[in-house]
Amino acid sequence: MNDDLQPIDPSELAGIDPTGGLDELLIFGHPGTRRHFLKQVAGTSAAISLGPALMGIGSIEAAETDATSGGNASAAVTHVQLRINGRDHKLEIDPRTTLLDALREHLQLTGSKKGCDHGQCGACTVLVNGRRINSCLSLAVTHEGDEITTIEGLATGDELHPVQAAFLEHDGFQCGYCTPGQICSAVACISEGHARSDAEIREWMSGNLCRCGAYPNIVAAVKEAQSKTPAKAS
Amino acid sequence: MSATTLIGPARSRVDGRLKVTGAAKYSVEFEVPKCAYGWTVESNIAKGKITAIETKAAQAVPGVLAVLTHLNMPKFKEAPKKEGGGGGAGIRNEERFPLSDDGVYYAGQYVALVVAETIEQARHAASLVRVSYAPEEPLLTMEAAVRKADKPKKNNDTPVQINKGDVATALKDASLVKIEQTYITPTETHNPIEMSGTIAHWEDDQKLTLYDATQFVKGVQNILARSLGLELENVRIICPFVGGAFGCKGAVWMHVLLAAMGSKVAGVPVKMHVTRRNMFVGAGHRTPTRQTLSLAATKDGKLQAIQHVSETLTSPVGQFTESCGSRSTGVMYESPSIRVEETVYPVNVSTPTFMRAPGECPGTYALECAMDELAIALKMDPVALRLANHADNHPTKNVPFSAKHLREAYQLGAEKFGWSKRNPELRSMRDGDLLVGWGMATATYPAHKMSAAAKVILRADNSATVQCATHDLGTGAYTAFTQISSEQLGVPFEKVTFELGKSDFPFGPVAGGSNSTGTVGTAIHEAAVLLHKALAELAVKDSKSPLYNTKIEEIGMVAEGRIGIVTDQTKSDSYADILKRAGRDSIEVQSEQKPPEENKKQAFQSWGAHFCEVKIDPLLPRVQVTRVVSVMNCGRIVSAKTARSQIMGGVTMGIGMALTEETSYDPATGLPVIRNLADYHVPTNADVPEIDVSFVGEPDFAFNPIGARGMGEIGITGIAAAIANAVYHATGKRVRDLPITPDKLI
Amino acid sequence: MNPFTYSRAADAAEAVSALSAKPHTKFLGGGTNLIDLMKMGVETPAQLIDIGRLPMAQVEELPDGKGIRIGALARNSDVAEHALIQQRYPLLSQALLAGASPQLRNMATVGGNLMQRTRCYYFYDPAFPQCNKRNPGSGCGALKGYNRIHAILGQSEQCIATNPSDMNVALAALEAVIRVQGPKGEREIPIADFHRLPGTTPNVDTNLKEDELITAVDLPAMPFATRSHYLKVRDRASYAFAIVSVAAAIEMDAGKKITAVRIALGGVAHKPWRAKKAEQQLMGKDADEKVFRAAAEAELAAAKGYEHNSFKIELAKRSIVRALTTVAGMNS
Repeated sequence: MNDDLQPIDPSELAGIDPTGGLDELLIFGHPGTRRHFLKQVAGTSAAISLGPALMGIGSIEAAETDATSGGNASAAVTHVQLRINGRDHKLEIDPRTTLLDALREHLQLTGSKKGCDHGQCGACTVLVNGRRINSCLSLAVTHEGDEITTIEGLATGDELHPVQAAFLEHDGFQCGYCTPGQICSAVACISEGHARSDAEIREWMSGNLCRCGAYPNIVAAVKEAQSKTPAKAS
Repeated sequence: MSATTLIGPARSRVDGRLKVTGAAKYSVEFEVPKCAYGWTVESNIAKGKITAIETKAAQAVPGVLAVLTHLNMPKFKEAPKKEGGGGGAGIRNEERFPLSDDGVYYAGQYVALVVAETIEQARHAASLVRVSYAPEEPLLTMEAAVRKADKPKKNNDTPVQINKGDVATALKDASLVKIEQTYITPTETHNPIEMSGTIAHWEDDQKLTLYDATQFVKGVQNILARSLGLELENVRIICPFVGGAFGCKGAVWMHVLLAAMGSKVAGVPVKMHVTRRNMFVGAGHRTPTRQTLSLAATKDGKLQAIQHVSETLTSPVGQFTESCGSRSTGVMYESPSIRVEETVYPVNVSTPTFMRAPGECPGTYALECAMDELAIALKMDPVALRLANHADNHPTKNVPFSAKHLREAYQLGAEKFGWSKRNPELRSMRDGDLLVGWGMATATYPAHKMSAAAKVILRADNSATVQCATHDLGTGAYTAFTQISSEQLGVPFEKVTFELGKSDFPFGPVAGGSNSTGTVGTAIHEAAVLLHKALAELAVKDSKSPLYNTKIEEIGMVAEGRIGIVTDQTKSDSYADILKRAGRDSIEVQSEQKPPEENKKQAFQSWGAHFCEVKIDPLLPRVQVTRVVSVMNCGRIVSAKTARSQIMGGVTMGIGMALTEETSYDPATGLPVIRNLADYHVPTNADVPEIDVSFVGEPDFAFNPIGARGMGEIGITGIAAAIANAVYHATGKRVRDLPITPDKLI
Repeated sequence: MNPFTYSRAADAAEAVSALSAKPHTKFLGGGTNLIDLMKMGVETPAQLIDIGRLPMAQVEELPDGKGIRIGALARNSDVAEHALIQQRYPLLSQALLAGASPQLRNMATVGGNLMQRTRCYYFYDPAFPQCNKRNPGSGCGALKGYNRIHAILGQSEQCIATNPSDMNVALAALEAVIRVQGPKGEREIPIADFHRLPGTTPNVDTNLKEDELITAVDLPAMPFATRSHYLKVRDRASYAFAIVSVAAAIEMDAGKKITAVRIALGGVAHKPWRAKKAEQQLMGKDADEKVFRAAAEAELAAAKGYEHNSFKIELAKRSIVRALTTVAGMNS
C-alpha cells in the first residue's frame, strides 16, 4: 500500500451533487429521499396505471411520462404473469422490460444471456411455445399466457437433456456464454427437423454466434442429439 | 498420471455441467440486493472540449439516482505507473481516468454516467443528456498523425527495432530474387459474446467488492485499490467465469472505474453491462496495421534479407503498441540479415489493446503472405521454401530453440491435407464451377512465463482443493488445472477441486500471452513439492510409518496418494494414513510467488502449420473455407479435448480476420460505423468447416516442469495468410488488404 | 428507450382507431426491428399497440383458387415453410429463408418485414449528426462517409440508404398486392407503389398512411413462379444482410424463347428494385448468357456508385446473370 494514496474522504463525497448540479429533488446520503426500487414497491406506493380500457385488456402506462414533455409522473409498473419452465411467476415490471431482462434481472434466471441486446447474436435464445426466439427483442409484457422454456428448464432433475449432454461430451462450447442460447436453439433446430445433415445444421444454427469458435463441435453435438431424439412428424 | 506423454487425457470440462445448464454465474449475474444500473453517455466528436452538459431532463426521470459528469465526478487517486514484478500492478491501456476533465480524445469516449434503479430508466435518462462541444480537428489516420509518429525502442522490455546484418545491400543485390509488398489489416474488435461488465458493491466506505468480467482479478484489485485509495485487502474481485475475452478484458477499462465511483456516489451497488455498441470503443480493439515486407533470396530459396516495416495506431490517452515485425519476422526464419522497424501513430481513436496474439497475428499474416509471394517468384513449393529457411536457432537472439518440432508439423500437415496433390498453377483446381485454392502458412507464438502461487488443501479423505487467482476464459483452465493438480499432487482427478477467479486466492497473473497453463501449472507443481515435503515431515516423525526416520530429501511421490523413498519404493506411506495417524483432517501448503526463472541459453517458442482449402464462385466471389488442417507444436498438451478446441477457436477467429471482420470508421466524426454484431461479421457456424487439429513434438521440460508452452493464441497466427494464399492460388488475385470480401475479388 | 403506453388490440378495426387516436403510435408485431430501433433511440413511439395476437396469420388460397393471401401477422418462418408457398411461390420461401436467423424469422411478421427500416449506419445510430431519414434537413452522413452497403439505383442527394429486406425483393418480383386497412376502410397497394424512393423526403419509407394497418399480402396467380430463384450475395455465409440480391422468375417456350420474366433486385436501392428494363430486353429473346448480360447492363446503365460501393454495379450485373442462368437451368 502506497502511503501517498489516501482513501476518499466520505465528507468529500457528501459535498458532491450526484445529479450534475441541477436537481434539487435528490439529496444523496439521505436514504429516505431516495426513490424506491420498482421491484420492491410493487403493489404498494407505485402507481399502477391501468389506463382507459382499450380492447381486451387495459392499456398500461409506461413507467414514466416522457421527460421531454416536462411531466414527472410517479413510477408506474405493469403486472404480468409469465409461465416459465412450467412455473408461473407474477412480476411487476416496466412495460419496456424485455423478456430477457425480465428473466435475468427480475427472476434471477441468468442462464439466458445478453450478448448484444439487439437480436444479432442469439445468446438470449429461449423457447416460446416450443419455438426459438430472441428474448432480447421481445417485450415481457407480450408473453402472458405463453409457455416459456429457458436453459434452466431443459434438464430433468439431475438428468441432462440429450442436447445438453451432447454439448458436454463434444466440447460444444468454450467460455460457455453463448451456450444456453446454442442449446435452446439446437433443441428447436432438431424438433423443427432442420438437423438432418451437417450442412443443414450449420445453416440452421447460424443464428447463434460463438466467438470462441466451437462450431464444428456444436455441429457434432447437434448431430448426435438429433440421432437420439425422435423427429417431429411433418 | 504420466506427465511425460505428449497429450493428456480427453476429459470433458469439469465446469461443463454448470455451463450447459445455465448455472455458471458470469460477472453481472451475481445477485446483489438493491443493485442499480449504470448507463453511459458517449461523445460523438473525436477531439475537443465539452462546453456544457445539460442533465436536468435526465435527472427528472423517475428512478434516476445520480448523473455524473466531469463537473461533479469525484477525483480518482493517481495510481503510480508500475509496481512489483509479473505485471502484478494491473494493466491500464487507457491511462486517463473517466470523466476527469472536459477533454474529448476520441469519438465514443464516455462523457457522463447515469445511475438509475432499472435498466429502462437508466437507458432512457442517458438518452436525455445533452452535451455541447467545442470541436477541434481530430487526427484520424497515419497520414494525418505523421508528425506525431513514434518509433518505440521496446515493447514490454523486448526490443522491437531490429537490425541484424546488412539488409540494404542484400535488397540491392541483382543476383537475388526479391519481392516487396505492403499488407494492410483493418481494425478488428474482440467481441466476446459476454460483453464486459461489473457490479460494484461497497460493503462500507472502505470495502469494495467487484464482480468483474476480467482476465486479471489481481490486476483489477490493485488498480481499484490505488485509484480509490483503499487498502488492497479491502478490495475483492470475483470472477469465476469469463464469457470469452481474447484480450479485451485484460486491462481495467473505464466502465469498471465508473461503476465503482458511481456506486460510491449513488450509495447503492451499481451494475454496468457494457453495451455491444460500446464494446467497439470502450474495451479496446486490435489496431489497424500497414506492413511492408521486403524479401531477398538466392535462387534455391535461401533467404538473404527480410525487412519488415510495420505501422500501427494508438490513442492519445494510451500507450498500447502492436509489435508486428519483431514478433513474427524477429523469430521466424533464418536469414543473415533481418531488419524490423515499428512505428506507432497516436490518433483520435479509442485505445487499442492486446487481441489474441497481438503482434504475431497481423505480423504472421504479412510475413507468411510475403513468403508465399516469394515462393511463387522462385517457382518453389511454399512448404519447401519454409523448410529451406527453417531456424534451428532463434534468428535474432542466436540461441537454440527448445523442443522445436516445426518440420514435423509441416510434414504431418502436408500429409493429412494431401498437399502433394496440389497443382501449383493458379486457377488450376476446380470443383464443378467453383475455383479451388490450397494455401498454407506457418504459425508461431512465444512461450511466456510469469509468476504465480497456489494453495493446496489436502484432506484425509484423499480429496484436495487447489486455489489460484487465475482465470478460465473458456480456455479450459478449470479442467487443465484440475488435471495438473491431480497428477502433481497424486490425487484422483475426480477428487480435485480447482478454484480460481477470486482475488482472495494466491497470486495468478493476467490470463494473457498464453502463459497460464505453464505459469499456474508451475505454481501447482511447486505447491505439490511442498505438500509432499509437509507429508514427509509428518511421516518421518511417526514411528508407525514405514518412512519413520527417513531423510526428507529421499522422499517423494511414488504413486497416486503415496509418498515414499524414491530409490526404494517398497517403503512408502499413504497420504490418508499419514494424516490420520497425525490426527489431522487436512494439511495446507502454499507455494511462493517469485519471479520466473529465466533460461537464457535457449529460446522458447511454439510452432505450427496451417493448411487450408477455399472454394470460390468465380462470378460471385465470396470465399468459403472448406477444409483446414492445423498441426501444432506447443510442448505438452495437458488436456486433449480443450486443447483441440483452443486451436479450433484460433483458426475460426482467423477465418473471420481473413474474410469478414473489419471495424470501419466514419471519416467525418471518427465514430465507428461498424458497431454491432449485424455489421461486424464474426464467422457464423456456416462459415466454418471441419478443422483437423493435431499436435506434434514433446513436452518442453526445459521451459517448465509441466512441459507446456501454452496454446491460447498460436491458433490464430498464420491462418489469415494461409487463407489469403489459398485465395490467390484459386483466383490468381492477390488481395493484400484484409478482409477478403467479395468486392475485392470482382 | 423512451416510455410508452402499451396496450393489446382485440381486432384490426380497434387497432386502427387506436392508431389515429393518439400521435406517435406504433403497432408492435414481431418487434424484431421496432424494439431494436427503440433501444437505439431511433424510434420513440409514445404508444405501442400490440397487434401480435390478432388473427391475421393465415396463409390461404385466394377465391380464384390460384393466388394466395398471407395474413400480415404470419411469421416469416411459417410462411417460408408453408406447403402452399413452397409449391406455388418457392421464390418467396427462398427469400424468407435467406433472411436473418431462425429465431428472428420465428418472430418477424410479413407486415413488419414490409415496414423494415434501412440498415444505413448513419440512420441506425443517433450519434451521427447527419441523417435526413432520421432527422430531416440534417444532411446525409453516408454520402461522403462510409457507404459500402448503400444504394446505386434510385437514390438522391438526400439519401442513399437501401431497403434491407429479402422478402420485399421476392414480393416485388411476384407483384404482390398489399392490403391495408384505414379509418375509412380497406385499400390495396401494389408492391411497386408501396415502398418509396427517397427523393427529397427520405424520412418517408412507404406510401402506407400513418393511420393504416397492413392486414394481408396477396400473391396473384403466376404459374411460372415455380421456375424462380432467389440469389443473395452477402459477406458471410449466413445471418447477414444482402450486399446484392436478385429475385428472378422466368417462362420459356420449348425453343428457349423467353415468354415471361420477372426480376427484382435487393440491396441496391431505397426500395426493392423491379428490373423492368432488363425484363423488357429479355422478352421474346432466346435464353442465353449473353442476352442475360446485356439485360443486366441495360438495367444498371443508370447506376451510380460512391466511394465504397461502386463494386455493387458489377456485382448486381453478375448476380442477375447468375440468377437467370439458374432459373433457365443453364448451370452445370
